[in-house]
Amino acid sequence: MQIDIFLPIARMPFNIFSVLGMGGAVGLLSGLFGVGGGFLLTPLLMMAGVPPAVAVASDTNQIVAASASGTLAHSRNSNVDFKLGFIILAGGLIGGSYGTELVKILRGLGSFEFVVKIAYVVMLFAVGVFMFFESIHTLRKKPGEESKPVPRKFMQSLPLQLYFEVSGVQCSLLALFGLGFLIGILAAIMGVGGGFIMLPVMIYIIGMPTLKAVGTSIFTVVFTAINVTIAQAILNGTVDLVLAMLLLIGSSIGAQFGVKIGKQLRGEQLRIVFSLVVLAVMVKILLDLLVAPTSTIVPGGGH
Amino acid sequence: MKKYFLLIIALFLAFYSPDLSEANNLQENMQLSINPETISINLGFKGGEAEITGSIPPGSEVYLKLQSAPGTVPLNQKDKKGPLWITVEHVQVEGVPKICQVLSSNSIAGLSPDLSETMEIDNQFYFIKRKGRVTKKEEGKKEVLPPDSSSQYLDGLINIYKKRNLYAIRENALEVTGNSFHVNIAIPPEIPPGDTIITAYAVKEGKIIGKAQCNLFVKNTGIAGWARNQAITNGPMYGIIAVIIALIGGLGIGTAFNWLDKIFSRNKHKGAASDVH
Repeated sequence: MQIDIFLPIARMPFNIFSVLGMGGAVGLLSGLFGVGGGFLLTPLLMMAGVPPAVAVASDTNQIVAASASGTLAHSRNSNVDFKLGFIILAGGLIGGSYGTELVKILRGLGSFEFVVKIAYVVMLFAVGVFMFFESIHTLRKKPGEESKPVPRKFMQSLPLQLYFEVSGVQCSLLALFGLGFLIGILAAIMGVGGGFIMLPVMIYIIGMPTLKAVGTSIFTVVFTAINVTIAQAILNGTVDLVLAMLLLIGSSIGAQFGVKIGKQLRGEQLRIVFSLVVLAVMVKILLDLLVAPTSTIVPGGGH
Repeated sequence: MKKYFLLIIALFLAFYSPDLSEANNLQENMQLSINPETISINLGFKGGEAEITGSIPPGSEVYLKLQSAPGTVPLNQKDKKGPLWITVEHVQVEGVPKICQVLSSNSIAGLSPDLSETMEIDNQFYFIKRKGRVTKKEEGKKEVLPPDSSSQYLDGLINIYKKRNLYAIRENALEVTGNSFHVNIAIPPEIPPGDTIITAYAVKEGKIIGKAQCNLFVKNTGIAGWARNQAITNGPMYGIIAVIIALIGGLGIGTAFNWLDKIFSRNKHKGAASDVH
């Protein structure tokens, strides 16, 4: 069905059902894995002809809605650890500010983008492969065989220990703040929201159960997305409210279904699917880097 | 003193009045109009069509150019570093219009270089490239690239615009009947707000014998106009409004799903209870 709507900032007509569909697919991932989904939606919008700067900014705006919707759904199932989330978030926001400054310094040194892209691909590959094999291993393991990984032992030996009732984990406040800070720096350098890094950190380093990690991760994404949306509106004026509103209707509905599907899966199964998504994104980025572009001059303003 | 002053004015008029009268004559020789003169962009806008009509001196050819106001566009250059294609430079292209269409009743390649330069019409958009400026920021300072470096960016941008049908050359597209001409043009949805200037020239025996201009005014209206205006003039408030809408939307849909869940689970329980009885 061809019902178009004119996007005032992108300055183009766009099929309403395509936007709703794209938003729905990304919202599903958001509810399922606690990620923002910008890694998928921004390239999809750009392929559909939306200018890169508008795609990035409007995508971030809809992530606010999808993550708020996902947080609400997860909180109803008591899967959001607000206390732990706020500590990581505080570290993440401060780390993000330092990360932005670090980007300026690294850009001055040259070859910044080359190093970042390589680091991003390697990180996604490492996270994806590790999560995949770890989850397969856990699925095959007999119950009661669980062993505590070294980073988790280290975290529990640091001062200012707090107990988090919702997640059922004990952890140092300093360590959580430090992890949030590192995630913020990485997110700023890589130009991503941080959900991809957040989930493995919460599961493997902090030791949170998978569903609690997903719920808490999506809760932190709400605030990072709000921060970026306002920054984009002030600095670039590229948030397309009409595009974002259509996307958010799709993504908020998709996020609800994502949460429902997530509840039907075991933690290990969820981690296997997540690791496959991470590896697929890694392959997509790698192909973008390896395949020669049709033109070496391209519209700017994206990530 | 007064004599000298009058003499200077007389000399000035003697030198310049032929040019002025020539310009007036050129305008008198030709008429140009566009219908509609104004295009309103709202949420239902998908582009449109306009008809350009005019009159010319008998036996002349018509060359017509549509050009929107020049703007600034960010561009990236990709290059191969090792095995990878990455962005190696970010630039801003200034002074290039988003819309540029050239239509004619005859071949454009056959125009003499002088005529081509005077009318600023050619079939390779050289006249656009001459006015374009490419800048990049180095250590906070804006640096204007020399023509040999900026050429690739201007060519790249023109190619992007050609692919999006914003730039076009349509030779022999104008229908001339006696001393009048007309053509229908497609208005692309990406047309920028403001005035798009349409300039027409009548050419006979290698000389310009008529020139006329008219404007197509593009304005944003309704929600589309409000959103664009706010995004440009009031970024912080626009950002806050965008966030509030997103939060209300996300939480509203979440609450609606919760409500639906409760209704469905209540119905399920009722169904299960009636099955037991």
